[in-house]
Amino acid sequence: MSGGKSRLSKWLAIFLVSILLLSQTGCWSFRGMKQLAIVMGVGIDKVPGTDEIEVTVQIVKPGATFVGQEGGGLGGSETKPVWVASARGRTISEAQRRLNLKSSREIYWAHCIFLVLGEELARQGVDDVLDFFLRGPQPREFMWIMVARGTAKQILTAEPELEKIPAQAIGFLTRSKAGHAVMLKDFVKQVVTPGAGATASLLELTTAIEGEDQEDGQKPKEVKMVGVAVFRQAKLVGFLDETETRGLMWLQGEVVRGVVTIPSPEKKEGRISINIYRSRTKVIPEIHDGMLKIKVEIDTEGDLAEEQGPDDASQPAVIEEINQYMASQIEERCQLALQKAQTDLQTDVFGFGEAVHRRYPQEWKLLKNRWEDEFPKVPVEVTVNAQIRRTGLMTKPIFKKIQSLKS
Amino acid sequence: MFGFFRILKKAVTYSSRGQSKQKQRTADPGQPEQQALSKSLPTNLRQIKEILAGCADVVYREFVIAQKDEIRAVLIYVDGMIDKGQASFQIMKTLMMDISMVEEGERINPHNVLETVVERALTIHQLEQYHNLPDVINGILDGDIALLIDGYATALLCGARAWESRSVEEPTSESVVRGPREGFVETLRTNITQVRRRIKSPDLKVMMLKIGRYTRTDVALMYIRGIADEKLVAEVKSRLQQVQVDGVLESGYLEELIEDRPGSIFAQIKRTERPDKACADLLEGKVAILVDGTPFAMTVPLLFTAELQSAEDYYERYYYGSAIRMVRFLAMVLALTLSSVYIAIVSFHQEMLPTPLLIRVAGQREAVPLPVIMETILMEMVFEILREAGVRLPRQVGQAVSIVGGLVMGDAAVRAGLVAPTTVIVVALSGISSFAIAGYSAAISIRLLRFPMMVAGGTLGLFGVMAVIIAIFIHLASLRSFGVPYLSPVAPLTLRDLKDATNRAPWWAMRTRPRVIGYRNPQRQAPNLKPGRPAEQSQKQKTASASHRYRRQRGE
Repeated sequence: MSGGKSRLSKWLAIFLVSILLLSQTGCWSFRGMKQLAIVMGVGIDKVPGTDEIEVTVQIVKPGATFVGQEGGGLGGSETKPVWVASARGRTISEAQRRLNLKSSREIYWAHCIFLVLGEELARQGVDDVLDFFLRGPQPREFMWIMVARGTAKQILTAEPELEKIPAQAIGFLTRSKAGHAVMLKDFVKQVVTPGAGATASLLELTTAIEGEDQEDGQKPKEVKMVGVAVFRQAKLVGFLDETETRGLMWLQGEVVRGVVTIPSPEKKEGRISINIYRSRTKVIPEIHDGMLKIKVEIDTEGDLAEEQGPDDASQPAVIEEINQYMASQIEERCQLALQKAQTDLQTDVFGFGEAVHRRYPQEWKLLKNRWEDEFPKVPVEVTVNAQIRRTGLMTKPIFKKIQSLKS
Repeated sequence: MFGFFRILKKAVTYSSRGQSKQKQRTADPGQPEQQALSKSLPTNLRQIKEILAGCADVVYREFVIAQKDEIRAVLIYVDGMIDKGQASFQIMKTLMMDISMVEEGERINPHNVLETVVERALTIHQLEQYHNLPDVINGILDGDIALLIDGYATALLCGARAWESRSVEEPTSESVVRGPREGFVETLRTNITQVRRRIKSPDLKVMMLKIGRYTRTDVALMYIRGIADEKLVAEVKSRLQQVQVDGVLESGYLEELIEDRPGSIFAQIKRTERPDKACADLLEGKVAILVDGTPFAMTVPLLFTAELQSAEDYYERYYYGSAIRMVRFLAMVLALTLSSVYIAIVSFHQEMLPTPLLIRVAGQREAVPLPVIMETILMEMVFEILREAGVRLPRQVGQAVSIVGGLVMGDAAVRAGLVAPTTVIVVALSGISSFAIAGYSAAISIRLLRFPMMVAGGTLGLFGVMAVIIAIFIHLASLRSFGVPYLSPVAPLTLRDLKDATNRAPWWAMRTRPRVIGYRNPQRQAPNLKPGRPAEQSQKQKTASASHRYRRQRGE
């Protein structure tokens, strides 16, 4: 009897203790979904004339995005799906605390898609503000880092129309690989690599229909990737424009999809566009007699997308000619980017230093400290091997006959 | 509590000790005391009537054998348990009228009447002689016809049992598309026959036991000699013999009295309604326990993997059999973890959701008043209520319950903003998943375990979910079913037996029996049974010679 009783009471005690323990903890890390202010995008600006920064966050309003749900009562109403708020502080945490004073929910960083930095702040250096995003467990290192021409705040208040949530629209700009996009983790890696320059995509406000802007009373509310912001030692030093950005992407082996347009071999005013679908870039540093030279080999393949000229793409000779034009076109873009980086910005944004480091670790030890001075003088040789694989659904241009009749 | 049982057990063993070891139907206490029959019919009749006083369903039919000598006799039986035609024609007509044909050679007299009746007159195929009063009483209550003749201290028990019983029907709890449609029924004799008909071997042994002081339920223990482990058979038998209860109305009574770990939430004895499944288990070396009045056979030992296996896996093509087992496995994982992981992620780990999904889920939660843990647990309870209501009600009404309860209520709850649609999906999916587990008892255990999982998920997050899962695994790994590790062949790992665990190997590859069960006779079939095209002569020959060698080894 007694044995059974004590066993029973032992289990009862364990049960009661565990119940008590569970209730005493009070679910300390519990976060109800309704208590979360999910930050989708964050912008940081310098407050002119003070040492404060201004943090602007775009917070999603989950209820408002849930349109079309019966009983939700929000369907069709013109509620904005996001709430944009900003606060100032000397550090981001201070600003966040002030934000919490006007936000009914707790600021939650885990789903932040991108971080956009104001131009002014970027020029003064971004290392101080990045610490918060690397240290905290919530913000992800996978967020995109971007620089705004002007203030970051205006990018966050823009209202791109294609996506319901503006931050998502801005984040998704990177999806098509049309522009140069950098993740926070890669940016930081570039910043801390000695001698290397860092890049971030450059954003600008624009209108959906080009040329139609302020005169119509329309505020530009779309966001566009206009190029690349170049950093040296965490400070913004300059920008690459659209073409130079393409060159940068070729040199970094980043082009996965893109269009190359070349003049028609036969009739020079016509143009041919080629859809790039595969490309590979090899950076090979070489040291001969103490002289460093960097060879870049680009292999690329593409499909014929558009042809205005009369060239007969079924002829191997024509294809060969197109290949060469294509190669020279790509090389030209690379040269533009190289020139800008080497002479104007004097910053190694291509990661050549790292390539040298990998190939010649011993020599790099000497080179490392004067790489910034060395980089502008390094000769770079770009070889492009371009191939057309498919000519689309047509081989001969169908308008060729008309043109031959005309002449 | 346990002490009380111990005292009871002691008392029982004491009282049953010292009883005569001669042929007797029962050794249970509470039965009429051992007493020999008297030679005088009126004395016997009086005593029997005394014992069976108040049993209005017992019929006494007194008559006279062989009119010249006026030998009195009496038939005693329970009305409704015998075949009345046999009683009238095979017994009474024979003894009262046809016996005169026997009389031609030698006159029937009080001294030879018993021999004559047994050897020449009674055309009853099953006839036994008893000399003790309790045996006679028990025989009568079992459904035999007792024939007592004046002048003999012997009762003849004529087997003419016949009572209303359900005919063999399709098993409802384990239906298959391809496979036999026969299921076990409530009559033990029919069930044993169904097994015997499938295994026509002298090695199929049937051991009969009677369990239950009042019900005296027939229990059959079946095994195949040479495959089943003798130690296992002895263990099962001794555990069954230790059971001293008032009655066994369903095999579930016995199940709880003979399993290894009665405190476990998991069943350690397999139950099946399908004779083919029971036979398959016997052929693996398991022992089957059939209980009268129960249309289920119990087989031991049970491995957990068996809960994910259906009879059809073995009848359909092995690709399908393997794929559907994976589906069941997935269903089991979903049934156990889905709701708790959902609670944990929504309350603690929002960063684990993809952003669009998070926004969607958060949007749904905006309008919902309850925290997710309350909501999910309540919905799971509602689901359990609906399921229970549907099971208990007649089939036609049951469907209405599921429609009204599931469709109307679920939809209305979502529209009213009381419950988030995601919760409804999660609860419905985890509920449906629990139905996809083949073993009914495993499904019940998993449905129950879902609730502690949800509490852990709601209080400690994924950490809590993991803790409960680990606890379950520790328990499962320590569990034994009649000494056999429950998680075998996964833990301890037997690579060879994985062929029939999570997937089903083709039959020609099922060469060996499960190691932990059929190790005494591991080879199940001849090697190289994989069929091929007729053109592959050499392969064919190889197969033929191999199977010939196998047969020679077996001495066939």
